[in-house]
Amino acid sequence: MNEDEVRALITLAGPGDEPVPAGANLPGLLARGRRQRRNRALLVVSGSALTTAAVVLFVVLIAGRAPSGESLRPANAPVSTTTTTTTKPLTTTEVPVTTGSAPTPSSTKSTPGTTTHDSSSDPATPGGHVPTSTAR
Amino acid sequence: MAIPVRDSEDVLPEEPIRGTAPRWEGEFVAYFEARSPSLRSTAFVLCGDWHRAEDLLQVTFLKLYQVWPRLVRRGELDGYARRVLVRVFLHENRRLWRSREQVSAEPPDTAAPGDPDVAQRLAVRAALAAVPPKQRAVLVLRYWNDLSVEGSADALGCSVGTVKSQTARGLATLRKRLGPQLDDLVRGGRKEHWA
Repeated sequence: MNEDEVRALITLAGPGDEPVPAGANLPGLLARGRRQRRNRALLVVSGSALTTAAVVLFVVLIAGRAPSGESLRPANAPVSTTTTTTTKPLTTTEVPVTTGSAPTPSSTKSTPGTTTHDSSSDPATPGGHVPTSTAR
Repeated sequence: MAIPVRDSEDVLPEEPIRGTAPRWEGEFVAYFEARSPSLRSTAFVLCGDWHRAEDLLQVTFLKLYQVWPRLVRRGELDGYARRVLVRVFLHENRRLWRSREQVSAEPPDTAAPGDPDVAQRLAVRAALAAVPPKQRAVLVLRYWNDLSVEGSADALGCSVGTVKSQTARGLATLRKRLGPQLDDLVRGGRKEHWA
């Protein structure tokens, strides 16, 4: 089939002499169209207003949660052994400052065959902090 | 296309509609009156049923009404209207209730095929109804609306290659359905086409 033959064939499928029902209902179509346009406009406006209100509410809520005046503090006081030892007056019974430094983490590890002393808990240990009456 | 602007009160003397009519409504009414017969016959060739064609036309013009102000600014009214019609048709065919509705093989108001011309028409319509909707839409756009391959592709929103392949498949289906009576139909159709 060439194009003209197909065209002729499709023409046969078109409307012939048969009675054709009445045309489209124009007033009904216009009424429906107006209603749909109005509803769509209403939807757009209300959606926009709703979105604006939601954004404003969100901003107000965020702004209402004002930060507290207190500044952040560390959970633990900073460990400073040097300041405590230097402020104390040296007495004859006190050990030199250099020996009273905090033990390094490696020295606190107990290894088999060695004896370690906790200088903070044993006042008799040389190097530990010994409070004396002369310090008053 | 230059559309004569009419006053909407001329067209709708008994105005049962609430609200004010937009200023452009007269143009829309004029376009409706000028173009609805041709779009209606296109819809009829697409679906083979006057009542369904009427539904397609209503939905098409309703969609045109929604976008009319933008559409007039852009031009290409006819092409857009045809595109909307074909897409509405394809969309309708995708709906499940449409397939559930077709329970009988023969429409109840079939004309008696006493006249050979009527018999030919009915045969071609039945064959065209057997072609899948998208292929049918391509055939109608190309051979009923006389659109080019590119124009059909634009109306359907697909590529030129798709239009060509769908045309070939649609014609093959049509040929298969018509069988041996194809030659008689082509001769009869040609006579009517050139008359």
